[in-house]
Amino acid sequence: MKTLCMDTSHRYLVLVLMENDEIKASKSMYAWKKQSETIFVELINLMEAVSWQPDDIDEVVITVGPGSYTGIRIAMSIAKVFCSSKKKTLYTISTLQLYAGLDTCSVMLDARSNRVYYGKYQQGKCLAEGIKTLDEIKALSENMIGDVSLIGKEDKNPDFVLNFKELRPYYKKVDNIHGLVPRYLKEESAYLVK
Amino acid sequence: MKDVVILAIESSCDESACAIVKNGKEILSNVVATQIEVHEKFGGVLPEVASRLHVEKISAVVEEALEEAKLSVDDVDAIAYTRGPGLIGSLHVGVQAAKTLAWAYQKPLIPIHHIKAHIFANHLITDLKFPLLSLVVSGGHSEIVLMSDEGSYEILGQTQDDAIGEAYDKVARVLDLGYPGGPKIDKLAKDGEAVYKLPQPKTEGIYDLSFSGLKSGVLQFIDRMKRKGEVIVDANLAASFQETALNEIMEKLLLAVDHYDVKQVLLAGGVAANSALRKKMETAFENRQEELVLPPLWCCTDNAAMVAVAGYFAFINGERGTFEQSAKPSLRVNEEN
Ligand SMILES: [Zn+2]
Repeated sequence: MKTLCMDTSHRYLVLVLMENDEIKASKSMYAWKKQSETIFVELINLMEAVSWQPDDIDEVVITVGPGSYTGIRIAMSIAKVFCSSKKKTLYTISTLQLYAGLDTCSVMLDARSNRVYYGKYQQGKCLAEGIKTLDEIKALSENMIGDVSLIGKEDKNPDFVLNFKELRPYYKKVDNIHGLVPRYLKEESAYLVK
Repeated sequence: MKDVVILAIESSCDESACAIVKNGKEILSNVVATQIEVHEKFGGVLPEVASRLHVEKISAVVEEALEEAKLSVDDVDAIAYTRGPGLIGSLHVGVQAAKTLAWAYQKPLIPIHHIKAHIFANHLITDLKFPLLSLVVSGGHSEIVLMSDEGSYEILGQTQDDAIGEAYDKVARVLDLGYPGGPKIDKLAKDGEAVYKLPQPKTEGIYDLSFSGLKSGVLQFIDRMKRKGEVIVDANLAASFQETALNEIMEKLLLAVDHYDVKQVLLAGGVAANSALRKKMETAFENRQEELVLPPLWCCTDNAAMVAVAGYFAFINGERGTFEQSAKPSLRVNEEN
């Protein structure tokens, strides 16, 4: 079983090629707003390194957000077109959960305007996910990772590659690939002019 | 010569589209998932909303185009896509979709300039004869383009501010006609007469266009009439605006046609569907040497068939794209990277 994992939903570009839960090749790089032009270049490099053909891939795992709207759509567009046309299985995981992995911790990711996407996890179990203001976050005394520089600490990024692998029990299978959409902060109706 | 089949993807603005075209002529499928109903609700195209609809629709549109053409991606020769100009978030979705197909099926990638595609749409109805002049008018563009051959592209003049379609949308908003403004003003103008005097646009270059002054002229006119307590006949105002805007375009176009020796004059872009513009073009070219080509209404608005036609010519000319190339919202013509 060959698996391709992709995350473009926040500041990093993460690509993992796994075979039966063994990591064969991976790339994790800071790529803020650069995911669109780098993703295929990096993917092609990785595929060459392990001598895989696109047809060899059995399943794809992507992050579904929350995160950068443009970013999430990069990997999702690729996954939707690839999995629907090649009849491959598609899974998603929450971007916040990819940060947490199997740790017991809380995750905060910059959602701009003094807000963050917040998630609280206990060894893979999601205890809470939502949006919080920076003031609300500052009032918490939790083991926080992610964009913690927003609260005056040094950003803490996890081992995304390892987390993709370890989170397998939490992958959600997508039954209707065409219908898959990212998780957004604002509903479409919020854009209606009042 | 062997048949060349191009699969093309278009997502530069508010239409998610995929088409498959054989030899730049024969449309095997041409699927457009239009977002117009959603944008009507919002009173215009909001970039974030458009991007969301693209990612929602893209895989289904590709699948439908293949089903309708009864082909697999294996059967096509290349994947063409709109690289720009357009809305960045919208373009990204189509670019990734095209790259995915090119990667997964090992097909050449062909980036296409959106406005070139609009011009090449005319090849679906008649062979293009070079040199030609094209008037490109849409929600985002107003250009007069000279093409000496299928690969060359020279912008003789363009709008200095608003695109013509934008001006229509803005004036339609003032008249409470809703979005999109073009067809609504066109329709209303039929019941009116161009009796109101509006400011004639001024520009720098002789072939350049400008519409923002005209739009403010409409607003000032309304204010003035209100102050005087006079009633405005909306249909007359629509007709006056349209007449002034289109006369500006026709004047510049005819100047260019007089100056350059061309075989064909083509109309392209969404506003090419405007009935008053088409009538003016027909009248102006009735007794002229140049062949006038007016595209049928179905290929004026954004679609992927036109991208496939432009892709066909690029393909046989040996043009190939790379996986490094990303969407370019302000892509210039003949831009390599
Ligand atoms: Zn267009």
